[in-house]
This record gives sequence, structure tokens and C-alpha cells, in this order.
Amino acid sequence: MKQLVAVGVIFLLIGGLIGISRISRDDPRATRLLQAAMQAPMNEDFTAQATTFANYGSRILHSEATFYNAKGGKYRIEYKLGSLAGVIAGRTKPGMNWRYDPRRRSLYTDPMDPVASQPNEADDLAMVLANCRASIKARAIVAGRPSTEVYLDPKGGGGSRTFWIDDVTGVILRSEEKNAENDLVSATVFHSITYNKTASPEQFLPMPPSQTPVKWVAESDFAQQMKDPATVSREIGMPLVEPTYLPSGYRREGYYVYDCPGCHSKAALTRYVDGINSLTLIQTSKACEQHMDKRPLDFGMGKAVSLQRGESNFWALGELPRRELERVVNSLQPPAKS
Amino acid sequence: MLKCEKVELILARYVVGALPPWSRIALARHLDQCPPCRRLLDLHHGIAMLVEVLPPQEPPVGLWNAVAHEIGHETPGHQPVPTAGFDWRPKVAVAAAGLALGVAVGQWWSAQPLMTPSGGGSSIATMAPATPRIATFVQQHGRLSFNDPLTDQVSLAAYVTTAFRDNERMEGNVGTP
Repeated sequence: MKQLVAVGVIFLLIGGLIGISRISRDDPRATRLLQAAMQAPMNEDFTAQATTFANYGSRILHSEATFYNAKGGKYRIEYKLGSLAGVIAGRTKPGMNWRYDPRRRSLYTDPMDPVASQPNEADDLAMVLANCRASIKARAIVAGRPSTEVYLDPKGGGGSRTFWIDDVTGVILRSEEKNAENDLVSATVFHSITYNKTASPEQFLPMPPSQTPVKWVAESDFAQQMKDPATVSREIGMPLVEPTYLPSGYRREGYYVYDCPGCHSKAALTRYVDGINSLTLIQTSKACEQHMDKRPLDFGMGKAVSLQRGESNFWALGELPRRELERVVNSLQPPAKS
Repeated sequence: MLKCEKVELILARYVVGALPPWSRIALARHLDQCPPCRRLLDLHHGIAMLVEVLPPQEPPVGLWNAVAHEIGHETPGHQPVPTAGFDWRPKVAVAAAGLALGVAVGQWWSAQPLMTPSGGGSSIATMAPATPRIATFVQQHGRLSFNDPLTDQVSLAAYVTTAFRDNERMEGNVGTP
């Protein structure tokens, strides 16, 4: 009996050490590959054929797409299958996105704050590495290219990412996102890739296919970035409430205000990021019909929970476990009425 | 290198995510170089999508009892094989259990967030699927993710396009239950 206990304890200790060491050290090769992956969209011209999936609540979105990337962070995505057939999404430069939807015959332009959206690979990489454990899982051939499978596991317990990164160029050839429950929620895989070949320069501009009459919809006034909470409070007509609890590693990315389509008044949006996942906190008037449904929601890539407190409705959305979102909304303390 | 015949057998498991990682890598390698198998994959995805939209089916009445009855018939004939000499199996079992428990405890311990939560619990009990009612939230949440590092632009743009469509459809129905 003593022998049995001794064997069990020894292996328990060995197992514990293995368990800790396996996930507490970042692999320097993974760090180098992630850095290359962040730089590749700015440095490479390529054309790729891709298959993509996204879990949208109760629906699975699936399409084939041609992805054109051009140096400087420009891209053009042409979707070819199912409900997304004919949709074109593009980026003129980082922070300037557009989308053509043939079903709506509309072309949506989305110029975000150009200062806030300038990529900063050093800061981005530092945040990713501070909040995630990065490890190399395997070597693989993807789209005919030698690549390395890199796994990012958030320390705060949110959704994980796996990337298959081209060993030579750093381009992400395949990407999988899992939610906090380890279910696959989105994936894109390149079947083929041709470097030094991309679309013509005008195809990265927000233009509909030739001869197509479209409605132009500017989304610039949809979620405008604000400089501080005082400005947000003035815009929404009530004090902006911020959480006293945030999941580990999350930091505030920015304050925004948008026109709520439910009550046609201003709603506040505060966004927090940890490098690979994000948390969106929305505050509206409690009278807003748009936000009446208080049940927590599963929208595929993430979850949403709500709370009514004081004169406000709050929603927290993110790629986090539900209990973490509940902790965030439960930490909101509106000022008492004077 | 996988052969096409083998790929045909494992594609269904690949589509539902039930294939082990090493098989997925081998399959992905094969699919990169085999257009006929990629077409077959598309077919499987189409079937998987159809299955998603089908209503759930109840099993026939009595199926479970019939299965349990069959199992009951088979088990009496299954006898453990006796072993002689030194019995090493308990030690190996305890060692394996200790190793597994240790790995689990170690990983759990390392994965704990450093901050402690404030605020109380919640009475929220059920989760609802995404509805057009939250399309605005999802749209905003997704749209602001486009400039995050390492974002999968192809799936995110598909996602945001669908959220926008839902939101536009909803705007004509605001206020209805």
C-alpha cells in the first residue's frame, strides 16, 4: 500500500511540473513567427484562394473567397458561395474599410479614426505575449507552403487562436478561432497562394463591380471615437459608468458613441482588448426598446450578458466565458442620484 | 501521403471537427493538392449546413430499451482474463492517474487569472441564440475588431456583413416583440 501511495505522489509531482512547464513559457520561435505574421500584410503582395467559416449564433456562414493582399496593408476579398456570394470586402489602408453587398445593392464605407487605427506591431505583439501563452504545435504544409502551427492560449481564459504561419513570408495561411468553451467558432484556410501577384491598385478602392448602380452608405457616424469619458457622458446625457472589474490582461482600447437604432438616442460603447480578444461594453437609456431583451446571448464568436442598473441598460459582449462577462456587468456601479 | 480512398472515409469526421490533429494536418496537406477531394469536401460542408437547419428528430419509442436489451445479452459471456505472478497493473493505474491529475492541476493552477473579481453573482439562467435584436451590438463589436492584430479578416468580414443585413432587416421592426 505504501508503495502505491509513493508511486502516485511521485507521478503527481512529475505531472504537475509537466503541466506547469508546458504552458507557462513562450516559445521564442513562436514569438518570431507572430511578429512576422503581424508584419506580413504590410510587406507582401499575394493572391490566395480560401475557404472560410464563421459561427453566427445558430447559423454557420461558409464561403469560398479570393483574397488579394497588397503591400501597405491593403486587401480585397471576393466571396463566391452561399449567402455571401458576390460580397466584396476591402481595405484601402489600415483603418479604412469598405464592403459591397449585392443583396442590398449598397456600398458601405467605414472610415475609422486613422490615428487610432495605425498598426503598431511592437505594441500589439507585446500585448499578445503579455496576455497569451504562445507555443508551437506542429509543422505542416498549407497551400503548398511549409508552415508552422502556432497556438495562442489567453491567460485570462478567453477564446484561443491557432495560426499556420508561412515559414518564409510570415503570411497566415490558415487560422482557427475557438471560444472560451473550446468550440471552433471561425476558420479560414488558404488552398493556394501566389506571391508577388495581386489585384490592380484601383480594386482596393471602394468601388462596386462595373456598371452596377449602388447606394453609398457612409458609416463614419456609426461609432465615433471619443477622447474621454466626460465627452461620452455629455453625448449620451448621463454619466458613463465603467467597470471596476476587468478580466486579466484587458486594457481599454477606446471610448465610442453611436446612434442607437432602437431609441434613436446616443449610446456609449467602451472597448477593451487583450491582444486577440475584445470586450465591448454598451450603455443605453433604460427606456430603449432595442435593448429590452435581457436574456444573455450566444452570437457564435462570443457571448453577451445584460444588466439594468439605475437609469441605464448595460450589455457586455466578448469572446469570454459567460461568468467573466457577468462579473464585468456586476461591477458597474452607477452614481447614486443626488 | 493520404490516398483519396482514405480521405473519403474521414472527410465526414473532419467536417464536424472530430478528427485528431495529426489526421487533420495530413488531410489538409492532401486537400491542398487534390481538387477532386476538395470538391468532395464542399459537398460535405453543404450537407453539414443542411443538417444544421433541419429540425431535431426524436428517436423511435423503445430504441433505448432494445439497445439495453442487446447489451444485456452480450455481457455475461465476457469474463476477465486471470493473470499470474506479480500484479503490476494497480501501480501503473495509480501512476497514470497521478500523472493525469498532476497535469490537470498544474494546468488549472497556471491558467487562473491574477485578478480577483468584485461584485456579486448573477441570476441569469439561460442562454438565447443570436437574434436580429442584438445585431446592432454584434455589428459594432465585430466592426471594431477589424484593426486588431492577427484578426481573421476573411471570416470577420463575412460575419459583419451578415450582422449588417440582420440589423437592416430589424430596423423596420423596432418595437415589435
